[in-house]
Amino acid sequence: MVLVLCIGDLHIPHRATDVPVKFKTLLVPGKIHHILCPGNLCTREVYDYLKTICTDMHITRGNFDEASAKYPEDEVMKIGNFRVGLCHGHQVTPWGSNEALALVQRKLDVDILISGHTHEFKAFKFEDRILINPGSATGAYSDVIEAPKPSFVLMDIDGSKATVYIYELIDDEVKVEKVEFTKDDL
Amino acid sequence: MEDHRIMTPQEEQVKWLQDASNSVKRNAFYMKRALDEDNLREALRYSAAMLVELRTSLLTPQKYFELYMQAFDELRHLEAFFKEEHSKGRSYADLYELVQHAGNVLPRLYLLCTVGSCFIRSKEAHAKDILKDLVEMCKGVQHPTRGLFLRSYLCQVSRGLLPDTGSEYEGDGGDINDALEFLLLNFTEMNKLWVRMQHQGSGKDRERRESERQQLADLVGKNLTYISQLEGLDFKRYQEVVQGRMMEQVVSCKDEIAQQYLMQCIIQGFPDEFHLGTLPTLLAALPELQSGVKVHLVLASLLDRLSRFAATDASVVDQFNSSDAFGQLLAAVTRVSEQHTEMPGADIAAMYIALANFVGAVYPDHVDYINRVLESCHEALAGHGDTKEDRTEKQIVALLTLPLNSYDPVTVLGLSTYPRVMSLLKPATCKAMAVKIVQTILKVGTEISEPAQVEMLLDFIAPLVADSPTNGEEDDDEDFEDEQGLVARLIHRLSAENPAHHYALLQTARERFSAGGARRLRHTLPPIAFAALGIVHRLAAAPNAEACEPSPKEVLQFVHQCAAQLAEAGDSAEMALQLFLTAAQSASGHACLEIIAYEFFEQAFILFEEAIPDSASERVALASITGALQRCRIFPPEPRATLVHKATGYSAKLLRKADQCRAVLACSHLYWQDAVDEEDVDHANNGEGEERSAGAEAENGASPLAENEEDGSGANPLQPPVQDGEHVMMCLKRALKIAHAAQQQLAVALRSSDTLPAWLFVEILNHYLYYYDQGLTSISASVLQNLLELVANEMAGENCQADAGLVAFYNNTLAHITAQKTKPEKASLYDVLQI
Amino acid sequence: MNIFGGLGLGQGGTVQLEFKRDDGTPIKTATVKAGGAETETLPLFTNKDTITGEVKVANIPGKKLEHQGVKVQLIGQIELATERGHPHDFVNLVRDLAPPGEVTSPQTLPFEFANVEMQYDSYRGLQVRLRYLLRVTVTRGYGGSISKDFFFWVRNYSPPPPPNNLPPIKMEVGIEDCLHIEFEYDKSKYHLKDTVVGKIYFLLVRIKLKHMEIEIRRRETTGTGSSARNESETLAKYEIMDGAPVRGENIPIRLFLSPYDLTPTYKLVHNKFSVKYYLNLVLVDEEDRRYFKQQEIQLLRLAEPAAGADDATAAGSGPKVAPAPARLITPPRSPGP
Repeated sequence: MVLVLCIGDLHIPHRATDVPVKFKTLLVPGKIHHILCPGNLCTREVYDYLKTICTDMHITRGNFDEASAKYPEDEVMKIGNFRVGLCHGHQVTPWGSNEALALVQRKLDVDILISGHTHEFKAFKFEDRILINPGSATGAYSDVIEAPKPSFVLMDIDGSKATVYIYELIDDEVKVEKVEFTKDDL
Repeated sequence: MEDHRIMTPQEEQVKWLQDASNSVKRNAFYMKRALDEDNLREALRYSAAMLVELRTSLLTPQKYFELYMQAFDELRHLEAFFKEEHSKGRSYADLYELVQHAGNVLPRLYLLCTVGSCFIRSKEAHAKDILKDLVEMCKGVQHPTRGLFLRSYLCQVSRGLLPDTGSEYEGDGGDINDALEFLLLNFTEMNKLWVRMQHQGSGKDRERRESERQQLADLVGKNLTYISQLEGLDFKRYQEVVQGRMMEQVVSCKDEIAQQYLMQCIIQGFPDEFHLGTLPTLLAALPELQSGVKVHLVLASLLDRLSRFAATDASVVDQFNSSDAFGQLLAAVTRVSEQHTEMPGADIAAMYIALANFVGAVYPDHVDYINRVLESCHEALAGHGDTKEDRTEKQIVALLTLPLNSYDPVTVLGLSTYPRVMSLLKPATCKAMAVKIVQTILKVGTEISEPAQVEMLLDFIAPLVADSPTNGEEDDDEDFEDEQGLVARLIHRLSAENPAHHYALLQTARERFSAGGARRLRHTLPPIAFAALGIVHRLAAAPNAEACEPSPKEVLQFVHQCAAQLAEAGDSAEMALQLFLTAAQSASGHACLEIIAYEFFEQAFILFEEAIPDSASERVALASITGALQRCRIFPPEPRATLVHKATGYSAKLLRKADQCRAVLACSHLYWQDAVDEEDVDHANNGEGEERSAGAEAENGASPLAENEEDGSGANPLQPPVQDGEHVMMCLKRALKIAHAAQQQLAVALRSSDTLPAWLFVEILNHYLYYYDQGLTSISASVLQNLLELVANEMAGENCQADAGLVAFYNNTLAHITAQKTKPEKASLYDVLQI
Repeated sequence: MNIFGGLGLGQGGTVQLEFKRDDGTPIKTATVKAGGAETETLPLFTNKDTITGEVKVANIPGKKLEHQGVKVQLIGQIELATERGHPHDFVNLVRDLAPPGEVTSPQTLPFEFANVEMQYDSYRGLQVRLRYLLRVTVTRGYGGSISKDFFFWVRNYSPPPPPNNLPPIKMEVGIEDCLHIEFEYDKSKYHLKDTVVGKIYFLLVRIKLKHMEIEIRRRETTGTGSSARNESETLAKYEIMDGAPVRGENIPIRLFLSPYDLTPTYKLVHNKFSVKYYLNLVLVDEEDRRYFKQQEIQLLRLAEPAAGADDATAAGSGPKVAPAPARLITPPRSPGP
């Protein structure tokens, strides 16, 4: 069983002060095995904060991340029986398009693609692959959608089974949704 | 053989203790044998001989304690024997006299205490008489350590024998007053002995002596504990008898260690309501303490107790109020600092911290009290010598930080005395304080909603906002980044329900930040700009957006200024570019302001052309431009074509062929926007859009971005989605051309085995498939089939087959086609394709 | 209890003396020190007592004892160390018990000294002793007379002094700028089972004291005028303080006299000697220097509260249950200067 935190588009300090306190209390050190961050942190301070939750971090470069951070454009890793891809998504035109993201999935040859940029969380099967967008952990101002809600995603990968929990902050209450995927379905 | 080695002091201690302990054992053995033989006189003789060992002056308190415990245990045998003797008819009065025949005073008194306790228990004598006698007779031992242990023994053997209220020894045996008198007297005597320790021996042993004294503190404190445990100790007695006697002893002993310890003992040992009821007396003692006493610690304990007391019971606060507890406390603290001018500044500040803590916990509504605390602190420290010392400054910072946590920070900062206290700090510390202020506001989550508050806040954090003339030293880069990060985060705390107010806050802030120089602006401008974009959003959502003051346009203009300033600041071109793009979308999406959106894109393009440092950043920037422009539906065909043309042109300027190819593929989307619901378009065009136009006409004062834009002011209608298959095809073909060119380039460079062109071909194929799927009529099945074959040929190459990633990509693509075939709604499209 | 003294008379026979009371009640006794750690038990009498008893003279069986008369003397004598061997008899009474004759079987010869004047207490001191004895003499024709002494002890009792007639001893003493103390003993006259109660108040302490004790000292004076000789001995050392007090300290004193071998104060006994008692307050400093102040106290012997053996544990005047505070507690002191 592997716990993977997908969190991105924090845009601190440009668009938000901090990760919501209610998220912070959930994100305690020692439980998460990997952090996958599609980008737009945007500062070292945020990086340092994420590192306190889990030191195994994979980050790709968002359009507000500085070049000096040297995050790659995309990254692929194997977690459980899944190939997981990570990519911010600003370079995927049209932004947020499932078909365009599916193209990236084919290119990276991944079962699960974690992307961000739109600040709109999603987790669903599309063309036999899983698309996940953890949204913005701070509910940061978005080019794409109106009034985003803070959200992040926690994946529990157990061999060929991935349980995806979507945490969303609505009216200062944390709501959790659960979606399950198995590799055989893909 | 005797050991003639020179021993260390520790070894000596061990040896001395061993010798004494052996002697105690030996004499105890004879004593017990005599007891077995029923020989009282011999038993007393040996017990005295045993106790003589306690006359030693050689042992440290710790070792002495071990010896004491040993003797203590042995004395229990004697005690048992006394009880037996008594049961055989010997009177305790006899025994009480008999043991006093011992020639040495210390053994005599141990024996006397032992018999005395039996005497009381037998009730043949009145407890009060015996207790009074014992506590008096113990004066015969004036040696501090020996006296302390003797009296401690007395205290211990008389436990439970005091004529406390409800005790079986009450009545003829005395009453609570006798019990109190006994303990108070013992306490007084013990404290005198304890204090006297300090003045024995030479000055160089001072430290060791102090540490030894600390070890003995609890022996003295036990008395107070026992007093506090007396059933009969009610408030009246505490107030009338106990407190006065204790305080008198504490003050008159003029000893730092004792005062420090005993004040804490008293505060911790007695109930809160006692302290509350006797607060004036307690506080009056504080200025009387020696100047070396850490009054702030004493005060902190007291206030901590009082505030926890207040937390348990709301009526306590009423009591505080009716007795003006705060006023008393403040006066006491003031007096202490006045009387002890030599007190370290840090300690003075610490007293005020304790007080501020108390106020924060007990008086959540009395921010005025904080003002008084700060005022008094300022007075106490203003003329003080070591205000600028690190320790003092640290405390002042702590004092200033405290109320920020317990009260609304903005209100606290608004207190008249706050800046005065802060002015005591060195500039460097002011900066640390500024960081604290920002951190606190962020932590507490205060909303700053008045321009005056913003001004004030920025005054306080001035060292962070701009270089101060006195601040010569170079900042550590990392610290600087952190500080500016904090300030940047703070900007999101400037907020107001009313967008106009919110906007005013941002304007104020920006004005102040402008003085901070480029290296600060790159941190502070983006959050201001984004906050402003949030306002635009809110304004645009209002039913009568253009009538708003300010108008979305005005705010966007503000964002423009920010972004432009950022672009000028240098080193922030990418950020400025991204900001322009975001603003452009806000203008096109939320505000529907075509010309402004156009202007923003223009600015982004200028930056792209002039200021992007490296190819990786170029890719990011161009992808962002493409993505942003792709979404825009505000532009009529002509201006849109201009922008799209420019963006597409940029793709050709990229350094690497692969980048060019991918950029062109991305640009293809600029000619293909998703179809939207008609309803949505209607809504934007005919609904609010027109209202906005109407509103804009009434608004004359608003200054547009460009002089000639007046005619186009107001919201523009959204355009229908662009779906220009021809241009899409042109892009795709160009992509193919670039891929081929890349192939040739590699061949020239003798690098034909490079799979990059094949990657590009598969990517291009995927884009063809994308548009084919979207229903782009220019892509016929045959065109696609040709491409498929082309790619299949490419893929047949050995080099390609060796590239597992590429093979996977290709296979995934084919699998995608196969999958599409299975979808009923797509079947007609894909059936014809042969893989 | 009958106490026998007996003595062999050479080859001739034995002489024994038994103190007896007419009414048959037992003779009181006193245990007294006999030098060193030894003690002896002697018959005990008081002034004006009538001393009765029997002398037993016995021959060696089978031999007769011839004599020129048997007598018994009651002698009270004072012996000074300077005049050893030449005691001065201040009482000498004689009773003839038998005319000259011969003893062929043991004979019992009763005697009586009625209302004997024994105004002086028996006393054994360093350079003087005062003793009482019965001397039995069997006068013999050949080989000279033979006498044997049978000692007894005399104690006299004083009436208790009127309580308000006992002024305390109170004095301020010291060494200038060094040590000032004020001490107080509750009375100047004590009986032998009494308790000395007092206190030491430290007015000024500039020396580091180590401890403080009270000694009971006895001074014998023999002779008068220029030939007077004094000899002192310390009968008791009783530590009353351990450690170094500071100014303002008040140290209690409670000294029980009963454990010590004391006698009443004697003044010019038969113009031969005096015995005086002193309380000596000794302060010892850290360098073992001794500072002391000696105060004479009058000792007197009160009548035993009940008839019986002298070493009963009767503890003076206080009741046994619940000691009266007045006896236990040093009187409170008025605040110091």
